[in-house]
Amino acid sequence: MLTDIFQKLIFVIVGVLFIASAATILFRLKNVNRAERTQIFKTAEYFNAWIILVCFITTLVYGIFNHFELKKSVHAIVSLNYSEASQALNSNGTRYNMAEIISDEVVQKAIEKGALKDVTVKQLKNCLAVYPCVQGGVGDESQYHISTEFAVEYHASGDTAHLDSDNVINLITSAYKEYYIEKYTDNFKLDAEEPDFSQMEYMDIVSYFDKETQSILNYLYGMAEKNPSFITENGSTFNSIAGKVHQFKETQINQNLKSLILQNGIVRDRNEYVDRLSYQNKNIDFDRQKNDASYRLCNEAIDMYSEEMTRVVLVPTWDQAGKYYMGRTKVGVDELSVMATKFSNYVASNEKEMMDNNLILNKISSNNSDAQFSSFADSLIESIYESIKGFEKEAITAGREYSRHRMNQCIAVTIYGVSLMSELKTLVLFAGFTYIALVLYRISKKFPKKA
Amino acid sequence: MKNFQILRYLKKLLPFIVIFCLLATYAVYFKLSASNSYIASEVIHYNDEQAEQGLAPTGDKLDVNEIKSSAVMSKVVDKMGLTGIYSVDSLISRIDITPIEDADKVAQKDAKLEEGEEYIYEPSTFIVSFAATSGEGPDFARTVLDEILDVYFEQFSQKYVNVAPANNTIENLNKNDYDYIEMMELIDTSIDNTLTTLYQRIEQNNYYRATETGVSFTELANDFDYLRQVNVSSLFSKIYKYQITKNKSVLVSDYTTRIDNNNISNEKDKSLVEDIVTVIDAYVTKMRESGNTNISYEYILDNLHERNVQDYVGDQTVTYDELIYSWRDCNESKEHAIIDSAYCNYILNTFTSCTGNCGGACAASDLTCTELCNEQYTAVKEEVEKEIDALLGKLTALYDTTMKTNNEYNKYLGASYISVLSSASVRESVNVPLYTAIAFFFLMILCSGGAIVLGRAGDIINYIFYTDHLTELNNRAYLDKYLKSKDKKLLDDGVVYCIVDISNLVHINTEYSRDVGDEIIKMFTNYIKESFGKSKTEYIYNGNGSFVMLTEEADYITVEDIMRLFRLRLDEREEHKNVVIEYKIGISETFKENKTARKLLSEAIINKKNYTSDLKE
Repeated sequence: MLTDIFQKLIFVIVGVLFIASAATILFRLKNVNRAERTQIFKTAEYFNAWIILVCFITTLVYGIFNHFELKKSVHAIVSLNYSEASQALNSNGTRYNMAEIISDEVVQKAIEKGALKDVTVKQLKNCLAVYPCVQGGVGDESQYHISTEFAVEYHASGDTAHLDSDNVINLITSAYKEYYIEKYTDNFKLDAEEPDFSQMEYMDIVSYFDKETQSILNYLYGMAEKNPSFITENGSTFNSIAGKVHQFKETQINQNLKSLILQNGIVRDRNEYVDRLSYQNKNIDFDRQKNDASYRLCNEAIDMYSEEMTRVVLVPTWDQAGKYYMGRTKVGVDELSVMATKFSNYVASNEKEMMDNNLILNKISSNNSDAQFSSFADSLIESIYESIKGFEKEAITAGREYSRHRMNQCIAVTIYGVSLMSELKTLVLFAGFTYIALVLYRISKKFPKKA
Repeated sequence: MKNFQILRYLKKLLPFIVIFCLLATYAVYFKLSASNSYIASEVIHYNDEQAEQGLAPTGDKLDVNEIKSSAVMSKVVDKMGLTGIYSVDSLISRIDITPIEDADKVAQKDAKLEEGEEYIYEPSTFIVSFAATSGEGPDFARTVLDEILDVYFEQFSQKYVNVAPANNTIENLNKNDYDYIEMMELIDTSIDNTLTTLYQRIEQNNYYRATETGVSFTELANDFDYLRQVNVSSLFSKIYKYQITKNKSVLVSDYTTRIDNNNISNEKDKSLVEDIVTVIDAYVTKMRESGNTNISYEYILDNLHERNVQDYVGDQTVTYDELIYSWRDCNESKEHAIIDSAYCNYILNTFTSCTGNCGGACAASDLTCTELCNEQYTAVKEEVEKEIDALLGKLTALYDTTMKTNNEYNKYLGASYISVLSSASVRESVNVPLYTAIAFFFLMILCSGGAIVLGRAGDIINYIFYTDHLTELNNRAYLDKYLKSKDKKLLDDGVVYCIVDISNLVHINTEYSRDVGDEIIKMFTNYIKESFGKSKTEYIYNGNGSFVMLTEEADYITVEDIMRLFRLRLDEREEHKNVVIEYKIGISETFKENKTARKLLSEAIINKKNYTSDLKE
């Protein structure tokens, strides 16, 4: 604050001296004739040692205050490097919002990262401004512009004067990068905590593993759809990793583990599990009955559809490629047939579920669970879980590698402090101005007050 | 009268004009800056092809003004922490939406309409603007506009694209007084509905994955399904097995009522089915009689249809189809009610059946058989309660993730259905520097013009009232005015008054004529002016051959010298040599006692000395 006042005060003093001297000369011009006037300007000492000394000292003092003042301000350019940025989108396809660069979350993160003391989010936020480096217009299409570079400005206030400006802007941009990557770049999460398998029914563990591997597969297929040819540093593609996971799922989970549990009737709480499956069957049977009724009614509706009303009309038309073809009007029978098929599928699915449950019930009732098999199943479960975690890690690593490759680190930040050259330029200009003011002051003294 | 000299008029008032103009310009600048506003604008475009027909993706009317709806703005106010600072209405009033029409499409529409053909075209590109006051600044305008569009994109998707809800309807279910079986039914129904919604999402975008939650809809569906298969079914089976209920009587009443309602509904549906069959028969008969059913498979429409029939997604249901569907729906409702009654009977049997351990006491009791005679009942009941709480906890967490994923999906869909053609740009409503410069130049011109007019008017007034027309010097009235103006003021040092009187003017007028007298006066005027030269002197002709010279920044000796010069000039004159001129000169200078104008003038009159200019010899 004080440096700001002193810096401005010095400039004002020199400015006042300049104006006062120029005004004095102007007012006293009439007191001398043309020859005298020329003589005054000719004989003026333009290179006076005192003037040079005063000028040097003034500039030096001004330079010191100016340097401290400039140190309070710094700015950075945040550039968005991913392809969706040109459509004003975040990398996950949502709308990009520039204001997030100095949002409360980012500022809070910056304060925490830098362990900044005696400053609140609000105080720091008040010192920050963000604006697009280039902004378009809305007058006509030629003015349209999607900004992908944004300037973040920091100017210290009284509350934040104790903070190092360069450090603050560094923290803000780095916090924003983290915030952005966390919020908008590809993300994949599985259950972080290992479930207590000893409390879970064996067949439920199979379902759990099935669910987890399906999630990994889903993630990998999704990434493969974005870029099927992307090769990781290890030489894998998303499809090749997915292939491995799929194979593992089929052999280790669905064949080895499931078969072991099923064929040996391995169960933790036989009665409870049998009750559960029985309930499920009962419940599924109600659903099956409903689906079967719907299927039957669709067929009956098709039967009762009058033959005379099923006639269709052919409509000559052309498609979007401009090719001719014969369109056909639809009748309710078409719709009902589709519905009947759908309900038939549901019935089949219900029946399959019940058959699966019955198979498990039969196996459980016909086998007495052997402790040896249980122990073998437990060790297999542990091994499968470890493998799934390994696949998860591999999938995430491949995904991150792809994100880095695709988005070129998604955001680039360049910080601009005050350059020595620009500071020197200011000083040279100030020195020149001060010198002129001092010379003018000296010349003005030579003009007489009266003619 | 003095010549018309623009510079002379301006020179006098220039400092005042400049100062006034600078002050006035600053006032203008201040006013313009205060009333200036910053307008942030962004161009958005609805990508859906139905938008050009004024329709949203759902087929509803597309209302762009929803951008400035209070639903959007209240969220913006909340998000930006402006509650209590800005009212929603005040912010809404600052939003402006301008459609941008496609010139080609408009021309096409006009041409089609001229030909009498129907053609619907509505603009699908809009400029959305938000105005901020000068105090709020450009950043505020840009930020608010960004937030408005963020919220709107999300709401657009929610309302017109991603419409199926996946809300948590079972939160705090355990806090209400539901029976266990009812709670489980509600949980099961909620999961079932959520799964239906999630499968719809999966069908739309199988691989969509929210970056915030890191999960896809498939994973969420798998998680819900897993909980249903494992936890829900486990709880159901326990509740059935141990006949766990809060109140057997209420439970039995509930399910009995449900069966009764199903029976009533069945009767209604049965009657409806009969009616529909009658209508169907009548409809077919009428169509047959009117010849509308005589269409063979060879029937082909004469006209070429312009639209791709297979791509046409409008409702193609005809009346007959509707009748058949109604028949099917009523029958389905009837059949499902019968199955539901069977389910209710199953529940009733489960909870009223006797295990045999109570010896038949449960039949007449308000308690179930297990509750009456199974020692484990209380422990199992507590365990079930705990498991329900845990399940609800897991489901609530899963619903939270679903909601977050869904919100991000809405933002994603919003941004894919509405694209930004030009990101937010801010401009000032008034170009303050330009208008300030214009105001300065305008004021300068106005003031200079005024100064010229005033100066010239002053010249005219001076000429009419304060100028002697013979000598072109100031007249007696001017001297009176001058003396009056100096009445209450003391004169500066260096003020010298000089009086020159032509004593024998009356004689000259009489002897040589009045014209000669006038010429002598003019001659005196010229010689006096010549003698005083560039000194700071005001010349007054006081009438009757009397001249008064008021000199500033001079002294007695200087003026005495000037008068000596005057006398010499007079004596060396070439005209009117035959006229003897008698005249008096009086000079007075300010000093301690002579500080007022009247006193100094009296002193000059007193100091008058006689002189004669006779060149006859």
